[in-house]
Amino acid sequence: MTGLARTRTRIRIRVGLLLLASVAASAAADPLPARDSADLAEPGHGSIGIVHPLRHAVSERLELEVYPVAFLLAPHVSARLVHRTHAPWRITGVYGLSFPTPAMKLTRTYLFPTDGAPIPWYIVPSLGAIASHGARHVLSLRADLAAGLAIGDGDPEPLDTYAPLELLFAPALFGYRANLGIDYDRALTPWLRARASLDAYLYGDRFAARAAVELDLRLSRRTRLVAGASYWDSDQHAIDADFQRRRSHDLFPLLDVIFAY
Amino acid sequence: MRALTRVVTLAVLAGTLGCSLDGEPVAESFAARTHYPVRSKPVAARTATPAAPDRLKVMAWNIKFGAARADFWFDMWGDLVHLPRERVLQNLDDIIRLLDETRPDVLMVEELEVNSRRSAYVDMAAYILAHSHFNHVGYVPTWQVRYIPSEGLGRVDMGNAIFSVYPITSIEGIKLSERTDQDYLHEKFDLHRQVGRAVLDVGGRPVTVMVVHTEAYDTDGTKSRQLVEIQNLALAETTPFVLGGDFNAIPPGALRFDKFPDEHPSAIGTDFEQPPYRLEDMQVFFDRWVPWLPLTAFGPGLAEQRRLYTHSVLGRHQIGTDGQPAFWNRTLDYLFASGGSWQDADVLQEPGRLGITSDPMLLSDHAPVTGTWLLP
Repeated sequence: MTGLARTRTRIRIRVGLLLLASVAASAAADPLPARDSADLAEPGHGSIGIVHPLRHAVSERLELEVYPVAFLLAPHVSARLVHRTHAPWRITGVYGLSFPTPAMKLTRTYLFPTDGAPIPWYIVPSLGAIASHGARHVLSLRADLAAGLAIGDGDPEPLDTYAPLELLFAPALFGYRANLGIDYDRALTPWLRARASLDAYLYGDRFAARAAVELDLRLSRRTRLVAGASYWDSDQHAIDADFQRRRSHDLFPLLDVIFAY
Repeated sequence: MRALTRVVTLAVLAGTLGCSLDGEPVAESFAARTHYPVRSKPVAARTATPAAPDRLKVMAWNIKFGAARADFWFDMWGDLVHLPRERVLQNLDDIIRLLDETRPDVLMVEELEVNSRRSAYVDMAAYILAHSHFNHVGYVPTWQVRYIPSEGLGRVDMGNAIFSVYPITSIEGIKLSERTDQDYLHEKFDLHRQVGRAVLDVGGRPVTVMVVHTEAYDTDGTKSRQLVEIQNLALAETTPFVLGGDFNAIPPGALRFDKFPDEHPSAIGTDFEQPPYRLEDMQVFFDRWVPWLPLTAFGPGLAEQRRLYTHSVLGRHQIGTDGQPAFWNRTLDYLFASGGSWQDADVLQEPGRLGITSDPMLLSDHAPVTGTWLLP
């Protein structure tokens, strides 16, 4: 081994030890909490991820939620209002309002025809609830319903595409989107959590199902890395070798960094 | 071009971020040779065929995905992206009406769709099979993309098909050269031309049918290369064959070869600008095989050639850039046989030709070419 190679190896070992020490120190300070449950952050605190929404606790009972990047294309906000904080089940209501029309108009030429049918203004109110059980290992049940109310002329067609994109516009294009879900978020160590989720979606005359597994790794006292995969079963107008319509099955990676403040 | 690049980039992003667990690619590019299934009518519903036929009535027709004269955005004369199902079925019924009038034994179809969003996901192979006199059909895809985020085009499954009253023993797709004048993303999501090659059992005698649809908008000579590849395929055939379809090439001696009045000015400079035609592209086909109409039928004047034109982007009720009502303005579709001879050969341009009452000018942007092939 040359002198340069030895130096590089030493540097790698030191960086690795520093990372481990950092994780251990942060773990000792605070175990990594479950996420996306019925529990709210302390007032004035919150979290934000690249994919995950910005959540800010306004008070002990109220948290506001927006997806910052998506907000520019489709203004929206959700209020997470605590209804019950006592064990065994904590219940939080989620009440939202979104305006997907700017996103639909901006994606004309791509997702929607440039000169096709007009796109009306949509208001999408949504109503949902999360019920969570457990403190260290958290089981959550979720339900929500979003309806697309059109103002003006136009009736754009569904996209018939990948489920995550289809569901984004489903309240506007299908009239509504209903979701039932269940999450189990288990602490494996103070700095590592595993999470499994199942979701069922109903929109128009279609149905989609999602299963996801994720690992949350604490990177620092305020930051976690989320990595996992989601499986989707949905109808995208695919056909089989006998030209019969069949369902599509897709696997998508999940990767995010969430910062808590 | 820039818009299409952005669109295709989006499509790739959408596709590559996830992967299909059921093996459906984001965009199919096809192997060198691929076998496809043959679909047949129930035995009880089949049209009777002669025991030992000595001739085949053959037709080749580009049916423009059942859109008839709808003006789609890429033609630049309209802004249509999708057709409602009722309209697609109505157009197919009109096509079937012409097939009923002419009763070909073999039909070679280009631009037939089996599961495309723009044609309401109608399986045109199954529909025509069920509602016509044909007994069997084989479909060879040339454009299979899961989702194209360009003008909301969405899923596309388009290709060539061979319909026959005689049993189709096998059908395969033989891939032709790819364009080299496109970037990776365009090449990936664009059409991938395949010759559809079927072997029919014509009264116990094998007969090969090849349906072709070559490049339309290449600027790098791809179409000419594909035509040479098709010639080589034909030369390699050991059984009697008929070869037909939309060659996207004009005949040798064509007096009109540019400035077509159906090209919208806004198409200039886009992916849909008509590249120059090469007059020599089709010469070898006329020299080596038996055309349904001899080259002498294409001359000597414009009036004779006009009677054999097979294509016009614009329909009868539209005005072209020359200020005249549109009519067929170039010959792109042909039939060739390995040997034997032809009878009752024509281009079905309008009512009255070979006794038809249907108006092909209203049914597609291509006219059917047809003839009775006396088997060698």
